[in-house]
Amino acid sequence: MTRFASGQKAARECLSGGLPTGGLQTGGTGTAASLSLATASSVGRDTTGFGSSGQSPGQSPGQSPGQSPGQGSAPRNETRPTLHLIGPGQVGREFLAQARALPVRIVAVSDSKATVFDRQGLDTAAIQQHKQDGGSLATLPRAEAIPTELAIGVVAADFVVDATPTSVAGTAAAVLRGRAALRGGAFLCLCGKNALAAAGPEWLLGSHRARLGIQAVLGGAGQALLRELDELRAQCSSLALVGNVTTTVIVQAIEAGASIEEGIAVARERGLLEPDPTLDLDGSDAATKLAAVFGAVFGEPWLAVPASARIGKQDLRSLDVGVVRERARRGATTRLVARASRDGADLRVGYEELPLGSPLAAPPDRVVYGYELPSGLRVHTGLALGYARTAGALVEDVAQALRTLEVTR
Amino acid sequence: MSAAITLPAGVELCHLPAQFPLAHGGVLAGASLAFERQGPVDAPVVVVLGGISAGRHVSAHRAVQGPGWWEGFVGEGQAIDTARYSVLSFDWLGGAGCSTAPASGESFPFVGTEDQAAALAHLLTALRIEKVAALVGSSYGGMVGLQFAAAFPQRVARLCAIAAPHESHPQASAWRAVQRGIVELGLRTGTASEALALARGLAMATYRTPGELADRFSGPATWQGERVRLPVQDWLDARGADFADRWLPEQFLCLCASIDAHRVDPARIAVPCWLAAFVGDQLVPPPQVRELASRLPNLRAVREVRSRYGHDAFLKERLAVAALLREVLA
Repeated sequence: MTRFASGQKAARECLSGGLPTGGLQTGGTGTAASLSLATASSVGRDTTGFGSSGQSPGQSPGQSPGQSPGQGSAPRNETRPTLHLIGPGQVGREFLAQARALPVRIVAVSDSKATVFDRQGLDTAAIQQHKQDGGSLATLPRAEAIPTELAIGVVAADFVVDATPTSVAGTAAAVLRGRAALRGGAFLCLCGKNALAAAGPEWLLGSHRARLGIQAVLGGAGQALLRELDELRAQCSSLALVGNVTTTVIVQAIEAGASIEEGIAVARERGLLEPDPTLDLDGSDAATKLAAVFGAVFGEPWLAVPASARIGKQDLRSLDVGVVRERARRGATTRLVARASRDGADLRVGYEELPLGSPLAAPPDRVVYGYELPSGLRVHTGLALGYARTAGALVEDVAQALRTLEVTR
Repeated sequence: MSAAITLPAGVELCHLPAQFPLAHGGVLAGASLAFERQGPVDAPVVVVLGGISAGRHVSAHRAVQGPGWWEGFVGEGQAIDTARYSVLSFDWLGGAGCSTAPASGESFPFVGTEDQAAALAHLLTALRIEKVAALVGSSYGGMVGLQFAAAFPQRVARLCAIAAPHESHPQASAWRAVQRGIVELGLRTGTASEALALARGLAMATYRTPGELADRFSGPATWQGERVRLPVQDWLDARGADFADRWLPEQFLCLCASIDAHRVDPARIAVPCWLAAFVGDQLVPPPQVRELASRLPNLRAVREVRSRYGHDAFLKERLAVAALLREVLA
């Protein structure tokens, strides 16, 4: 058995208030709502949503439509851990590509409209291409248009990888998805920071910590935080982070003589702007990361994490480019720094002058998180920037959990 | 893709390129170099590098007040005068300081003296230092200095290499190979810390001269039960234990191998060079330094100093070394 916990049981609980449970039973007699999401009844059938008559993209002749390329005939007693991807956007699609190297079965993919599911494993290359072409999962045959948090319970995968991009409006839904995954016993790998900012203490300070991956949330510095969380919670007095590389790129462009608008254009060319660039430019992205890390290091499960919207922020567009360049001439630099102390009295995000030797004077290829300890400043750096590396960080979390699983088996 | 280090107060950090390429293959991802500066920020820069167990903290200064590894050589009014020079030093990649290094049980790519030199070049770029007035390197630091001068001649005005060869002497490599063998055996048998202490004890014996050890540790053996105990053993044990407290076996293996793989063509070093060798140094014997001197195109001076401290004379022979440093910086 490869399950982390009783996912099936949790799935039944999840369904008990709504959909019939028959689809989860072997040979079950579920109704329409549960047919294509059924565990056993989907074995050997096309539930990828690509139809039963033709080949899906990337599918080999003779391969049954429900099989992933290269998988051959999946045995009925397939024991590889299962994985459910949520959010096949740019990061999610890249994850699908990179995850083929992992010893997992990707059994479900959900977008904002629907979920496709096959217990034997989906044709992820085909789904990747379908989404790449702008298609919605809902347009696929047998796709189920049910709320994602419900699909999480029904699928009951060993891993839930939530690659949904951060959006302020989507915070509540992201938390619901996370709760559904953790409640079902899955290992949850997060990409968006809003859910961690909102529910960090709840997830990190309880029994869920061992089933949470946040490497991607913190730009590749998440595993270091989890590894050292107990020490940091006991000893850290304040923290500071330079977690938004977009503004670092823009500041460096300004130092080199560009205007703010030209700097923003440089960041856009490099594909660094968030889907909603306002989040980068007004400091919200940095504030959300600050809230997430603050909750992890200083938070308590019974205390609300300071809402990122209420953290004081400096907008990039308010920067005095003359000051930025003057600092550079003096041999210093400028970064968007987010700071917090243990008492939580002064959380702030603003552009600060930094000496070139400051650990926070990070180049635009990494994020830096600094935790003040009695022994000095603990510095975590992360390189998981851009779609491919963010997806790589999600893969790292899954791989790390698989190693843990291997050890504990 | 992530790394964690702890920086004490006064220590600065330079982030190396995300994928820092290594001369012998592979990359260091997300690596950082911890460094210290003392003296006026706008003064000419002197880079000071020591042996593998030396690090960024060369001598006490306002920001970091504990003693450094080269007290008496660097400071206000000393041979390297921090009233006149900005002194820069860093922790070795792969070593026991605050720069990126292997963690316990972690595999780590091979880091050569070329890579330390490239890291220094990146540090200078990050600090917007075009060229340093001098690079003074002793032992491993001298090897890195030779590499730096060969690879980045436009960035250093003068090189002073003390007890540092262009390639490791086979006898010295033999001793270090045994040290690494001891540590690797310890790692395989779950006695890594004891093995590291033992290896360090062996290293200490190679750093010094027969004369010094005879002066300090002559005397009869004592018996502890059925085991013989020699006067020198307390010293070896203490030095070994101290080292094992501060270093991980993986870090020692990394830098120890780096010394032995060191090789640079002296003909490539066009920078004005000053060399020093110590008569009695078993690791870098004077004939080897003479050979290096004979092949350098821009040798300014080579000094041979008789010392009972052997290879460690660069730490102990204050008058002779200080005189050389003043000559270099004159």
